[in-house]
Amino acid sequence: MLGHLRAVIGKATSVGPLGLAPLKYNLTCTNLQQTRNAVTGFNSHNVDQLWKSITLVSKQGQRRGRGKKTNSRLIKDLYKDQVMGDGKVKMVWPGLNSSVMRGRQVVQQERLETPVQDPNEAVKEAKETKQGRRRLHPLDRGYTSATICGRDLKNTTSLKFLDQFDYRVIDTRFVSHMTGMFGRYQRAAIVVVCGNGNGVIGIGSGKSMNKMHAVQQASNRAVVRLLYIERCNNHTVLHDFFTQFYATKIFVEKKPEGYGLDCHRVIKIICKLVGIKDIKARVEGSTMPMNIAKAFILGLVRQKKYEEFAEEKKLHVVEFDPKQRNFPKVLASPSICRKGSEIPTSESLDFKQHSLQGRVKYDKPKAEPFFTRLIGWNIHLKKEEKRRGARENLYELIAKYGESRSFLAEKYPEARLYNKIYPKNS
Amino acid sequence: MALATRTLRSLQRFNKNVLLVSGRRRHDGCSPLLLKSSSRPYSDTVGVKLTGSNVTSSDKKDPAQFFFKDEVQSCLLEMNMRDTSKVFEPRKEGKTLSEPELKFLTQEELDEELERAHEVARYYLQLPPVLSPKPDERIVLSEDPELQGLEESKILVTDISFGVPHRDRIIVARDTDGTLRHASRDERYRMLQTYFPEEGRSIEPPQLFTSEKLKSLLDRLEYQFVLDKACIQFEPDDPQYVSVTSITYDHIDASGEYDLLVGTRHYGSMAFYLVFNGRQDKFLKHCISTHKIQDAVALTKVFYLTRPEITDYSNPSSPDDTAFLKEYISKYAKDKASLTMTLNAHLELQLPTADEERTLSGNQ
Repeated sequence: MLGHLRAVIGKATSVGPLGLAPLKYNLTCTNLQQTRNAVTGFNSHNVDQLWKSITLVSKQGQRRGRGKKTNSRLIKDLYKDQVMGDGKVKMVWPGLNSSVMRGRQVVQQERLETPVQDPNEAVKEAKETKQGRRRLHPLDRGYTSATICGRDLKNTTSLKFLDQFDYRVIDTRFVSHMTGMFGRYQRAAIVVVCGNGNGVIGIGSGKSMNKMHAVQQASNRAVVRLLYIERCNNHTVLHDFFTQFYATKIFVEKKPEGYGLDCHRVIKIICKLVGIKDIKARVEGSTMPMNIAKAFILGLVRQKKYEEFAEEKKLHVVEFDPKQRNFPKVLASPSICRKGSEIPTSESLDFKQHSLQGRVKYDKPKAEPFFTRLIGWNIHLKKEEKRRGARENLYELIAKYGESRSFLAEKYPEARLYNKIYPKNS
Repeated sequence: MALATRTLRSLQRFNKNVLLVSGRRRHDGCSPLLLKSSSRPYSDTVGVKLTGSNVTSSDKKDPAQFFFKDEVQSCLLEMNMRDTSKVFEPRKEGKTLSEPELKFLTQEELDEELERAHEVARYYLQLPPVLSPKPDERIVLSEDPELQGLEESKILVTDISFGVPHRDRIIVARDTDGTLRHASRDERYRMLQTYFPEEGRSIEPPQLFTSEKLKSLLDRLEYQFVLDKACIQFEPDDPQYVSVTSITYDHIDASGEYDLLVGTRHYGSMAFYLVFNGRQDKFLKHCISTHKIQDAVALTKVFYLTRPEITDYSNPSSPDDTAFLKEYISKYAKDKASLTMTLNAHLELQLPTADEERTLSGNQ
């Protein structure tokens, strides 16, 4: 408040040739009086000069990069959106919010009636609240803090994006070549994937001297190359498939609802943008992000519907779900079905083999934990063998007698356990 | 130990092959006394006197003599098998199951698989028998007073040879007073569950069968849960089973929530229970009002089959023969007016509407 008044006074002295008019209202604040009489920087310098005195970085310091980033104190415009001379009490301040002379008469400082709400309240509040970064969801922060990869571009950058799409960078690199004029000519190469979370996906890459410009370029290219992906019940892929782009090979498995995304982080991002929720995928060979993305999108586009499989083989496609007691659920039927005698013995009738194009995924068996090879493990097993079924037995005893009880308790009621175990609800 | 040896010897006296030969063949030379109480299939229990007070039967008859009739069985099974989709619904069993498998099948293979699925449905929709409670008879094999006081506790001897049906299994008890007798029902359950544990069955009946907990469950309409649990825990002629099921069926009849049992194995048994006790009219009305005419016809047929004194009825001409129902309503139904009204309402809905008639005449 004091600083505010000082600022007002400082301005007022510079505006009016007459200085302050005699105060009609009792504003006998001791500080105010002192300020008027004291010779300080606030009287002799304007706001810009005052700010500069505390935020200034020397030429040498600027060269070293001081005052550039988080450590610098930003110059605040204290008078932003503020009406001078306006406050809770409506006052006429000659020389501040009214002219000093009206005709030949000097305007007197006076209070107007109709007190109104302070129009600067919101401004003050905004000033008082701490200025900090917007909190971002951990999943939208990207892979690491070092690169922009995986970050939610819409919420973290001020670039221009389409509202309907979500944009993610999957790869950033610096590429360079030598030129006669500039020598090493270095540019940022960015790959961006965009999608609407409901089956539409696009991929684009951009190159520029400026990294953010490359991001914008890649985003613009991604959003004009959109593809539509078929999904099974809006949660997973249509079937298991194998896909390859150059040296990147991917085995993708269809999974039931609730399984989640068990795959490479690039594939995970693409799945989120397409709207795939349950899938297992394994990448073999090269793990270059752009090639993974291209291989995966290629695989998604090349998926076939069950009708196409049925037509291809001229056989029924039937699902056996152990959850439904293996009821044969016909997913698709061909127009003409082949008979058993028409199928050559060499033909493979395995659906998985057919959909993986004859590729066989090798699942490495999970190794036993190291401690099972120690001597103590067998001792532990022998000890545990005696206690098998103890917990179930305890529950049964609690259900029957309300406590853990020895078999002797029937004959000798005093033979009770010292540490009684009671059921939770009692 | 002397008592145990003596018990075994007495057993061998009755059945020389008891430890040597396995399977049913060894019963050939058995004394009829040794086999009498334990070996009795459900369908042979016809004629057992109704002693339990749990079943409120209008006419003092044994349900078994009607329940196991082929015609009644086919009617009830037909009711169960009308909708098999519930058998194949995903269930929450707390087990991790493998992924669904896809196969390429020819038409013949598909037909075979569908036939197999039908068999699976038939297996899971088997009718739990509706029986009268079997009294716990005490059958003494021999009294040896010279053995009294030899041991401090009774000794149970169980034949644990492989391949014998549990109802035929010989289990005998030697009491401390020297009596050799057949084991009682509780002793039999305990020994069978000890030597041949059945999954889901416990030696002590779970708390849910106590009247307080059972009432709470029934008020929450958990009929299928209660009936399934009872099927696992008890034998069908156990007085406790008969009591639990009859309480549940009565509750369903009172609440009118018959549809909760549709597609389960208990649907036909409930129908039989209601018909046998002469309380079929409310269920019949429900069937007609929900347009399950085939169920209504089967129910009426079971009504006639369980009453041999009624002879002047004609078999239904088709599975949805409404004339058959009308005849029943006019002659034997207790609430004739309301049933007739429900049937008429159903028939009106089945009639072709004016628009359909017009299109039909237009086509001609």
